[in-house]
Amino acid sequence: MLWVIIRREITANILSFRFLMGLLIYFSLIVTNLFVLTRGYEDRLQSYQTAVRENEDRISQVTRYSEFGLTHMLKCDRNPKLLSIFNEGVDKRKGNTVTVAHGYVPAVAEQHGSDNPYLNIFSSIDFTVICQVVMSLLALLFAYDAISREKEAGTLRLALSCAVPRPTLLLGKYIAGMVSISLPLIASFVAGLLVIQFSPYVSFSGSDWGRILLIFLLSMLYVSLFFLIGLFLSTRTDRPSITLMFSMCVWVLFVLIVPNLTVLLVEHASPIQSEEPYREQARDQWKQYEAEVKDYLEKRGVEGPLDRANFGGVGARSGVNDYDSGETVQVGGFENEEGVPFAQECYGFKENLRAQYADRIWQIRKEYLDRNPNRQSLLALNISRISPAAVYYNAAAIFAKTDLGSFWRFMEQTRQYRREWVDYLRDEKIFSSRRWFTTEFEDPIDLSRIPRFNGQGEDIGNSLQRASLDIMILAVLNMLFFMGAFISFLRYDVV
Amino acid sequence: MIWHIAKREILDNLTRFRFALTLILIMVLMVLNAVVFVSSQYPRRIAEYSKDTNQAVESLKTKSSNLSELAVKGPGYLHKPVSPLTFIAMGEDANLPKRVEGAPSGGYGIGMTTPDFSFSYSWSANWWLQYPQHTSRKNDSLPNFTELDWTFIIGLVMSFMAILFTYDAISGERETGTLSLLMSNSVSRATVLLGKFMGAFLTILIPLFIGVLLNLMIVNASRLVSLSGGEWARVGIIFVASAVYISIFLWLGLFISSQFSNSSGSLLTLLLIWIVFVVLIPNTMGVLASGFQQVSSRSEISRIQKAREDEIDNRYKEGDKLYRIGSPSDTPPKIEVLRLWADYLNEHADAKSRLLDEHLNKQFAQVEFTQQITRLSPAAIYKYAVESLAGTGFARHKRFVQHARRYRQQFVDFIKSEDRGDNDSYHVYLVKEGLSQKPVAFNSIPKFSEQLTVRITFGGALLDLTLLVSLALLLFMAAVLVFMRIDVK
Repeated sequence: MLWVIIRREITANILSFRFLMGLLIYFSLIVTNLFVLTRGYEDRLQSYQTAVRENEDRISQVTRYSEFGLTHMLKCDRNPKLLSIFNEGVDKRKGNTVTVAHGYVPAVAEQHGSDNPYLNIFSSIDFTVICQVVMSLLALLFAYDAISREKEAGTLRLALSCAVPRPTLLLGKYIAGMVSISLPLIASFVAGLLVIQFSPYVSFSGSDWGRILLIFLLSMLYVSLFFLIGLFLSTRTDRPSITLMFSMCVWVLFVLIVPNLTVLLVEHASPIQSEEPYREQARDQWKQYEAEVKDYLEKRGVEGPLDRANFGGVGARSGVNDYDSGETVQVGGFENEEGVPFAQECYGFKENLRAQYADRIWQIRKEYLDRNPNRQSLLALNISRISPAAVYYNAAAIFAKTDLGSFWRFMEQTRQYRREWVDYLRDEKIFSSRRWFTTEFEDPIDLSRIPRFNGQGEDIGNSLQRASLDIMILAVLNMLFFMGAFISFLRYDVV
Repeated sequence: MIWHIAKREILDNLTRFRFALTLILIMVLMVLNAVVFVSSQYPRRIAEYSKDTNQAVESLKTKSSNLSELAVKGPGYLHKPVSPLTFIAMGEDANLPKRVEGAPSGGYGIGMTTPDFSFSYSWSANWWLQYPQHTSRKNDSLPNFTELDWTFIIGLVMSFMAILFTYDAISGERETGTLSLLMSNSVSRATVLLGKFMGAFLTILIPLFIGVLLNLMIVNASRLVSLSGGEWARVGIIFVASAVYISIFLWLGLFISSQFSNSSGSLLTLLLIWIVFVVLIPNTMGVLASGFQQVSSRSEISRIQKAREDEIDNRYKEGDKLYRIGSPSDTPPKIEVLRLWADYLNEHADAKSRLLDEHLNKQFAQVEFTQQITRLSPAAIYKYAVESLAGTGFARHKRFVQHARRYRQQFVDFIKSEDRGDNDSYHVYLVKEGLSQKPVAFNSIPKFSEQLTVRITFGGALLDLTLLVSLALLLFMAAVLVFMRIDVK
């Protein structure tokens, strides 16, 4: 019996005007959008590759180690995420290159600056947003008159006069509706994937396919929620026009207004405090560092580390910002060779201490970040969960590795990389090596042993775990509305 | 007769659920917009702006102790004033730079001794106009969102409501059979259509009017903003533009409604049109357009800049030409040395200036191209019109940059004319030893300011306003033509 109802409903749906319109619009949108976003991804990938190459070039020019401290700091580049084609998240917006040095713990990322920043005034949409806006609307349009239209037309009475239990009828309508909606979704998904595959830069790995599948299933869960909302509203009213009105209100509220409102509220209810006190603290730390170094040198009766080796002075470039400091030293030759080991000892002390201070200053900065921008972002994320549209977007971003959490993970990896780098410098006793300051060796430094940044992506299990809350919210809402529709329909007056 | 039909429509609409919904929604959104604006948005931005400008004034004062220093270091930071009408259109201000910088960067020193000559001189580069991307946005981790300003409330929500008000105006009456009854009286079809339009238009103006009134009352009561006469006039024009914009969707609704004999069909079609033109087109074209016109990247620009500067350096330093005849810091300096160095430094500053200006112009052209494409959407046209009138958005930013460029010339002229007044000066522009070393009266330095008059803003919005009116007329004619020919049964 269920099958008969499903077949009848599907036929009715597919032959309807709305199906044709929905399919057409959805299909053309997805295909053009994926095409455009793939090109955007190619551009970003190229600029990433250029950045990595330039970084290697720069490192290969280094002749003395102190250059890594200021003039030739190491860089970590963030690769654009392949699945940003489906969900851009923060992938495009956040910086993608991070500078690392023993005197600087990375906390913010810069932009490669490959595109026109003024284009940021145009909002852009991706696959997930189209799904979020158009598919939810389509789902409501398929569901709003499922019950109330049949009542208005009088066919509901006829249908129920046969030996069809009400649950079966409702279930039949739900399954048929979902099948009819998923047809445009699947068709455009497949067409979109074909478009992407034409790009020479794109090749999906096994886990990418898994993630794409997860995004697809998530989209179905989201669409199903809106279908159930429509079905529920349909069982609460007698006339389809009223159901439609209510459905539209729900849609405008949850898809258009709430996601915008949350950001606005968070920005104004919990504004970001001034960073100045933290900067002040950091500057104090650097002053303390300078004092400690001065003290150390004075005890040894010199003003600078190289005083005993070279009376004529030394070429040095140093820079201190609020959160970082560094120095690059350059000495061509020595007037007193015996003073060189002393200089090495001094630099060993000085640069080791610098790395320690940088760690302390990072703690200060971390406190600011945790209490201000990061807390605000987390708050916005949590409040936005009022709207299923935002829940869906967040979960899809986690699967596409473009969410804020993935970005933070990248930043954490760059800090991990800095620790490796500092450990390497310490273990190899590079701070106190002759090559720290001298240019007497013309040949470049042996680069093969320098640790390289390797940003490992999150594995799929981890992503699933992080998205589990959002998935659960969608699933629970689905269940709630199904039960709501079920109970309402059991008590629905069919006459 | 039109009035009779309109009255009937109004009475009918007023008792409908959709009217109550529109009224509540618009009122809530408008109040929210005003409260957010006066409680935190505007005070914060004004505080930031005045702090920034005070700093700029202080630094200008310091520089005014010496004309030559002022000439080299330039006017400093030029900040974009915050428009008091920001609550009407935020205009993506958070994503646009808040200032341009008339400042130098980089200092150099050279000392050399050769058998032929010895030379030493240290200098800093001459100022040029730079366009850094400092925005007022504090946290870039927050998701991108649309501000709840008038352009959102009216452009998006009201246009949607306009569709809900008219989708069944004709098709609904055809469905119930009342249209044929209506037409059996001696009323012309045009009258019926106009009556229906007037009915819907006047009903929908009620929530709009109440919402706008509440909004302006809160903004006005806060005493934070005191709008001048010109600004009130601009608000008035924006209101009229909003009414025209809404009428576009009402005529669209009537046009589509006339095509269908069942109201659900007309609603579906209207919804799809609305989604494409109001939601999708403004949001996809940014990505699409950037693919059409390529603009060089920042690293490419710095590469070109370096090449040009190297070329200038090579030309001047060939055979140590620049160092051989003496240093500008010699006392007293030789006039030909000053001229040579002034040429050298000016060429550097001009090269950088020209390159940055060209690059910015290209970036702006790309944005304007994108805006042209998005004008396919009436919502985008409306947004640009309102932004121009409110003095926010990209068009305003471009005007700000143009002002800053004009001011650059004004500043240079001022330095030259001040310098002419000092007889001890060598009158060589621009090397610091070649200009007057006397202090400048701070008040006589031209200050950067930007005037937004009704005429300027209206002129900026004229194209978009014309487009809105033409679109409304077009849809009006289309609706009339279609309605004339339909079968009323």
